[in-house]
Amino acid sequence: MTNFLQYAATGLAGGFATALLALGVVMIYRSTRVLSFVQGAIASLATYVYYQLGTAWSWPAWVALPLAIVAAIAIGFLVDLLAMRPLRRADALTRTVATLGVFLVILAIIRVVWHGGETFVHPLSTSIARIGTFSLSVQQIITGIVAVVASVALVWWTRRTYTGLGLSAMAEDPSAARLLGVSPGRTSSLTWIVSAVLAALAGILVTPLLVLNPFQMTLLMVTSYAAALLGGFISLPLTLIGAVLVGAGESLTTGYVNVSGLSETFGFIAVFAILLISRGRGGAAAPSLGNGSESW
Amino acid sequence: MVTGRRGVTLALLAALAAAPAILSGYWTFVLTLAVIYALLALSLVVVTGWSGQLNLHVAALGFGWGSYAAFALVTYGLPVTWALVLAGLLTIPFAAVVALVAVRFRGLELAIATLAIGLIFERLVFRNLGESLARSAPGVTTPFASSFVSMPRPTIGGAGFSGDAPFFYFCLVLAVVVFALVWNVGRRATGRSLRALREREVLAETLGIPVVRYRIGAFVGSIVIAGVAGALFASFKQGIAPDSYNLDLSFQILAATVIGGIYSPGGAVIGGGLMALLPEVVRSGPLQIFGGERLFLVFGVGMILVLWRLPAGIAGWRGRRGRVNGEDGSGESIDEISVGALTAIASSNGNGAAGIVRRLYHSPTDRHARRPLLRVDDLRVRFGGVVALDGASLFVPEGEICALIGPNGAGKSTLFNCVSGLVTPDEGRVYLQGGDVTEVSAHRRAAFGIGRTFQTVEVFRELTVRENLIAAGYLLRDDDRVVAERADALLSSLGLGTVADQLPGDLPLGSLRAVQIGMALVARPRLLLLDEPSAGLDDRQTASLASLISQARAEYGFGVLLVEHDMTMVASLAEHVYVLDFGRVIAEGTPQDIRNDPLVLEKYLGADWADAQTAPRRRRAAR
Amino acid sequence: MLRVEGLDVFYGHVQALRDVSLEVADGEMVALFGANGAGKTTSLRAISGLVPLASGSVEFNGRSLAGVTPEETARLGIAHIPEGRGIFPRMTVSQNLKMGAYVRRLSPDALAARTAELLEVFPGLKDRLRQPAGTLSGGEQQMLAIARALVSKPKLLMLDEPSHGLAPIVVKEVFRLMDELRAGGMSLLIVEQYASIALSSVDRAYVLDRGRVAISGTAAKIRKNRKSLAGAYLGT
Repeated sequence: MTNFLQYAATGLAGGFATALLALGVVMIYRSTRVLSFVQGAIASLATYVYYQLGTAWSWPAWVALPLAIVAAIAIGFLVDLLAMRPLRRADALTRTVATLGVFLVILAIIRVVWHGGETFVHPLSTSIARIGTFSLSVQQIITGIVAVVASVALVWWTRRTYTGLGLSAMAEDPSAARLLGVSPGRTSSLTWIVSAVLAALAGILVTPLLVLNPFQMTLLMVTSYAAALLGGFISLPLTLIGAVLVGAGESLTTGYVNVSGLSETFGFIAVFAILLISRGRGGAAAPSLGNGSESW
Repeated sequence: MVTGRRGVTLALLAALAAAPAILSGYWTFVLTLAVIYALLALSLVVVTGWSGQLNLHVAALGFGWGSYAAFALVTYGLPVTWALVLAGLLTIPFAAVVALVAVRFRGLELAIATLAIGLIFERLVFRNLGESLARSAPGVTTPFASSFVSMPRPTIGGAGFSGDAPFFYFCLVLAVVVFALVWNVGRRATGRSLRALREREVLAETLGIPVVRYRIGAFVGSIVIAGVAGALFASFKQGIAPDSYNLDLSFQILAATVIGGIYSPGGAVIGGGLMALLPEVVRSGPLQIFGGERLFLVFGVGMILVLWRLPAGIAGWRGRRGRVNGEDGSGESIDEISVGALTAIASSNGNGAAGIVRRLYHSPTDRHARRPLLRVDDLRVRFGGVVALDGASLFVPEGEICALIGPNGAGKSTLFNCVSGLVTPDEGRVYLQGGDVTEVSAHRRAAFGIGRTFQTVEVFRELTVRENLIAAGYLLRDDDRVVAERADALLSSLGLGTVADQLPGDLPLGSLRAVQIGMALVARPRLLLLDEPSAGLDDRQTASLASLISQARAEYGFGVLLVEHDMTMVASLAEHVYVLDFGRVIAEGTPQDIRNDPLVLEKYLGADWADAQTAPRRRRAAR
Repeated sequence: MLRVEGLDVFYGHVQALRDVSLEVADGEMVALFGANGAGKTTSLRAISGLVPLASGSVEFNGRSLAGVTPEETARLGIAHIPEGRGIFPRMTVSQNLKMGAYVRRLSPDALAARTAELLEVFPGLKDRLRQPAGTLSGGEQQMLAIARALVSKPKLLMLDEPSHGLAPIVVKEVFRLMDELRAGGMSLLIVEQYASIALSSVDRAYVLDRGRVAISGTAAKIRKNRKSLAGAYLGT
């Protein structure tokens, strides 16, 4: 039983990081109907910035972290400005494919600047918290706290503030939202910025527990689709819960099933399983190529 | 254009054939890789460009399978040459299983599904498979990683293809065969149907194209092509390392194919070329600043630019240049339909051919004595809490033009969709020529003799008018020549002869409506369903369209069920009218009856408009 | 207040409006009638900027609205309740109302005060504030849509088929409300498929037929001219 709890609790940190990525994916999908394949890469790039400042140059975390977040804001803004804006008249699937182009660009930047090597990032804290035989690293606890706070803040923001409500309105009925004064351009830009910040937090918090390489966060992003699917690509709280469940499930599988590579692929299997179960209940089904009607 | 394309193809083939003699061994090696990548890109053209399905992890789903399939065949004692040729076929069972799952998903769901399944193979299956093969395979050396298995080059008759130049020719011949097959399929009915269903799935279905079967076929076919590429790749690298089949490769080849042109085999050639040659070109010299990893910056940016400005990629550059943004002709005014020989009828008072027929059987008793074409019995449809049809019934005899009118939300479209098979009613039956077709799927119903048009402009924009009609001839199952003759006959009787080779994007709306009617008529339907054909047309165009329809009816003898809000059109065309309101038939009669019916006036204009005029035959729907 | 002249609108190949001109004066209630596809909804969408104008002009209080986006139109004081009402079904009623203040960004206190005022007019919404708007009945959703449009005190209110899908008694209530709004000095432009319901309320009306203005004039004139009105709907 203790083992079970220990495995589950360990998995939660990964689950919370997944949640941050998933919330970004859902935010973007809700407001723009684009499925982002680039959240993982954005997370990696921001984390490399953080690594450069905090680990390579040994700046203190309270300097490195805000600067990495600023970098994430810039990345999100630029992705929207340079890739999404020019394609605003294109259908959602085309823009989704365009995020793959952004993915290649960001990956190339990482590989050119940091030579794509695998490296380690200093955690915010190296302490371990123990309760009896049960132990958790402080980094894991921080990850959980930040994820929960970020999700709660995000939910509060999208329900209580004008700007956040505008984003939700855009998700539900774009033309009604426009008629009430919500600008699609600003919505898209804001969404990409918020999502980039969430992704950066995910990367900065979780990579000290794993390793930093250009692809790690992209794999986590695919896992995060499982959570997004559980939230129907619209509900933020359900997405959070889904991510935590997937994280715990992954950790438990690692603990109890000894098949090489299974823990790494647990998230993908979860994605596939959830897709099979959830098919036809809305979510990401909306945009498709050639859906048989002319949009005039 | 065609000769140009053929010229380019021949020149390219000649250059490739001569290349090993001219270039160094190293460049031959690079060109071999280009050929292999071109095949991989071709698989994306088939699955994504043609059938509209996004396979995001082709490196694992297809390419990797092909490598391991070839290895398996070699291990079981097949000569390497045959193993490489047949490896693609060995991937079919895997492909079929995945395709059967994939066909349940659309658009982004499918993209996520392929990503997840691909990663499961890349990270779990291939690695474990590689490791266990590396441990157990007899006589196979493992020089590099623990999961690397080696794979020999093919040999024939002792001479062997193991050198770089012979292996290049081996790959080239295999690739040319595959490209020729795909190209051949692409220009025939199968390819047309595939592109048709990508562009307009619902339309394709109502033309009788079995969408699901085609989608599975395209998926499996593309996997086989990727499998052949993967088999060659294993032999090319003289071994299989599971890590080669990673997501990076999948995204890069997708980007290269999009840049090359994802809608045509030519684009695959360009894409494969870019993928293999560009890294070499920028390795040194003036372009060196794009060398190494920076190249993928170029790929990423190039892909976004292509999506933005040049959706058909480099291969489509020439054809598409004039209409890049696709918003063609939005400002131009709409001309008259080119009615050709029918001008005389069009200029008559709109009472023309239809008026003559009407006198033959003007009373319901006469109608019901005629041979039944369509009978709809007591249809009930609910969408969630909304009752769309509440016991609607109607009857259309052979050869009659029958109209269905009613206010917004009366259930006209739902009834229409029940007849064409896009909606299955909760209760009630639909009979076509006496046979119950209630449970028959839309594409099979087309085979039973139902053709339909849509309110929106549903045509295949990438095909010319003539090709549109030929694509609509799926059900005829004749050879291409017969279908083409039928299409030409229809084109001339619809007055479209002069625009047959134009793209629909260049035509005025009136002509587009005629094209749609032509498409619906190619497969010789007994019943033609017309959904608001006059929408967007002015009086004159409406009148010519009406005469066109009645003329075509006189020529081909089909019956028509017409949903229409334009009463001028209904009056000039229909022999019988049903009025639908709140999902029920509230009145029926001749157009004249209907226009004088107080109940109908009340429905359209409100209660105080109804007054006692001549009472038409009308019935209230049974409770 | 609102002056539309020579409007042409295309959807791809389809010309939806042909040379449409219309006017709404201060404090006037004007109706657009016409059959399905006559161009009523398109007229409203063109005014608020949801569809681009091919030619013609739209002026609001002397300012040209050509090329103005819907978001800016909302800022200028035009409230447009679209076809299907455009409420946000997953949001609560009070969140929907708050969206009505999006352009004004009312402070919490000002919003609360304005909401309280509106709840006096729409007492049916009072107990529903915490409920997702999607769970309201059709009539309540229409009331919510109107209330939401009124939060920002628009100068012109445009309603697309306010009676659609509502029971007759609710329709009467909606029109009574619109009478009150006009009495309060607001201008209204309403789109209706069924002429009889609206004719008793409006000052003037335009009847559209296949994208053109077929008849226009005072409500009384249109009432008298029933034959041509019937013609616009049922053909001549």
